[in-house]
Amino acid sequence: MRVLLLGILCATAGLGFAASPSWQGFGFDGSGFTKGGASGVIQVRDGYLPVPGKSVVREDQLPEATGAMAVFCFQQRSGGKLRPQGGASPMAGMLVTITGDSMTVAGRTDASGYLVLALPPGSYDVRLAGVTKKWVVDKQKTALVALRGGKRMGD
Amino acid sequence: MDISLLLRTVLLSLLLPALASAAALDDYYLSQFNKQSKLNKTLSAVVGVETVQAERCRTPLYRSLKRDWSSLEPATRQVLGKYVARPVLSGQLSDTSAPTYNSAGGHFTIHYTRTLPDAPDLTDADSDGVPDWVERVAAVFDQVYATEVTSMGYRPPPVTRYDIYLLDLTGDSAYGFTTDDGAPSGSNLSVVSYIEIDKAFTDPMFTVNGRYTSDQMLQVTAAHEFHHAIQFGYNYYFEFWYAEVTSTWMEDEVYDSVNQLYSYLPKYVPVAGSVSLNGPLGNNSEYGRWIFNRSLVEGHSGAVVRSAWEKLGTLSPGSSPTTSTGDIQMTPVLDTVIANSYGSTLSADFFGFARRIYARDWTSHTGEVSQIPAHANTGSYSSYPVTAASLPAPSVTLPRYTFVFHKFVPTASVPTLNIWVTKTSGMQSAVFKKSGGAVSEVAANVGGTSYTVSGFGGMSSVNDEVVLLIANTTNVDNHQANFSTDGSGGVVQDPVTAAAGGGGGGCFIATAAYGSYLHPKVAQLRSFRDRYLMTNAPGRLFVSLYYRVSPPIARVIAGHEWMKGGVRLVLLPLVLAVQHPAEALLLILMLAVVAGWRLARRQRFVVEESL
Repeated sequence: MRVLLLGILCATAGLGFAASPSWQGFGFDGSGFTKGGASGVIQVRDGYLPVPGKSVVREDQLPEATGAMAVFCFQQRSGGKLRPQGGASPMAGMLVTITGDSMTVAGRTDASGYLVLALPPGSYDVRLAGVTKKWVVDKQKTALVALRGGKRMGD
Repeated sequence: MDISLLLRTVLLSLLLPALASAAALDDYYLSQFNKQSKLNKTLSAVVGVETVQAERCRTPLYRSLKRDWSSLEPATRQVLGKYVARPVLSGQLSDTSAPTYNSAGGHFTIHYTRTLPDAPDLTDADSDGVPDWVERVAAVFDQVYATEVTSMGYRPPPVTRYDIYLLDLTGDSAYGFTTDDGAPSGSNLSVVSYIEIDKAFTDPMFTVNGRYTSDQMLQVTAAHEFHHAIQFGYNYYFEFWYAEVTSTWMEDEVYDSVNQLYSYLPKYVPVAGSVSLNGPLGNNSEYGRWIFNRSLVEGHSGAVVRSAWEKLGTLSPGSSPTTSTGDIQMTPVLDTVIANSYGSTLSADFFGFARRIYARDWTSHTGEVSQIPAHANTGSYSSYPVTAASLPAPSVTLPRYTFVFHKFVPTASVPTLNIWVTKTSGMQSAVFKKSGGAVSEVAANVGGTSYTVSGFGGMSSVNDEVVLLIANTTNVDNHQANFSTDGSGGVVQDPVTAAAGGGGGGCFIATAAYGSYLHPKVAQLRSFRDRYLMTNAPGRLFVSLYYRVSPPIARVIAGHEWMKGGVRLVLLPLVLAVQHPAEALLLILMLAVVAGWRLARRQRFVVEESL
């Protein structure tokens, strides 16, 4: 019986290990976030603050009863007669305002174009210049929000 | 722990700038712009340092670079100078330190440098202290301004003197860029921008190996980019495809003799069956789509394009259908302008455009018609009858705003060719007969579903042809059509998806009743559909049924002015309910209570009477 219990325990532990969430890379393709995208890359994991960039340089658990929001500010490029000039360029230093039911916070995007923060679960208005998006933050989850801050016409 | 304190702590910790050294900051920007720092270069030779993949093409990071500019090493500034928000030309310390020259017309300031690589040809034949090429650039932009603003009536960009920067763009493989100075933050959607163009246009890449002169490429680039500046001035939220269509079309309106824009037509005309007029940018097809504007202008007048931009200048994303990135969809704008000012529809004009692509009956720039590629046939039939078993299958499903051609090769065994077409509501068809080099359109038979081409058997199987044009003239993908020469056409089904383009569409009956897709009440109904109907299964089922039933009804309403008022009256309760949902719910509850009370009272009487 003890052997059986030990076996179940090991199997459960093994399953738990296999099923444990891991970091996943997302990129911004100009209109939305996709797994493995090449630009605006960010690493996401449930229960942790997302990490902009192609590698997880540090792991910070989300405070209890919060979720994460990562706001990506970008300049949309288009056109290119001789070579495609389209895509999205990160915009650093952009002022982003986030308004919830009972609070407003503001911050600037970092060099990768991201503003990352932990927020209580709920609905928020995320604003960059004249653009506002309504977004929901769930507990221990990451909300990825993209806001366009400019346009660049190539050719 | 107090939640606000927690939030402040988290926020501050995340927003603290990285404690990086100046060298690290330099390395970061150099790597982002695909430039290698000296340190990185040395290390990579020894240990193979992982290189950071640069963003596709040129990756500005303009604003951050400008912010951190003073912290960078001089050598880094030299390398990255041109990437700062407003360009810092080579040999300059800031975007405002370069020499400038104001155009004689007073509308432009040309920024240039005397230091390579951004320095233009510094020859100063008239010894006035300004390089001749800089003066030429200023003169060309003045000329562009005179045509686009003074003659054609477009609104100039919202700035007294517009800034033009000359810099070396060979590394970017770009003729030029037009960039806004920042998205609008208030209700004024007109934004200032600036233009960067190559310093010389002498590279064979720009002149297409000498086919065009540098001056010609300067001319068409100026005409193209300055119209983007005008577009930013009308409304920041313009849609990209129509911006490129108009800017490219404008090249030939300002400099008719250069004709470089015709080189983009093979990227669109032969593939117009798969590339939507208002589809995403790609493979340079957006530049080839300029030909639609020419068709539009020939059908109406030169003012139709300007009117569309002026109309866009009155709209905001909050009250208009938008794309996934928040830009205002242009096809509804075009449709409104064409309907209100020219008594037509975008649907009819797009079909006319497709007709013109086959018939080649262009009425302007007639000396250049030979440079417009011929249509491409999707299928060609020489075995008759053409039935569902024929190859290629006589059946098409088309994306929004696309068209295809199918050819019927004459044969003596078929004296008279009959073509039956079965199509969904968004499809239009036409049949052309080309005989002895002359093209004529074959009228549809009564009922509009078949065509009879007499004399087919006597036509040359080599030089003559009959061509069937089928076009999806709506903003909805996946309209279907099939055809046969024996009347054995199959079944087609209207697409049930909402309109493509990001913002939904197609409140057909309401649009017909209110006269415009952009009417605020139609927008409210669309919003109601997207928020409350498309988010649940019963709602989606209702929308699906509505899309199947409503297009023919809408067409009848649109064609009878007297019906519109009545339909608006019928729609009024629905519109009011959408506008005031709480009151509507209360009213419904009250009506239900009254109805229940009356029913109960009636039943009581019945019971009393039976007693």
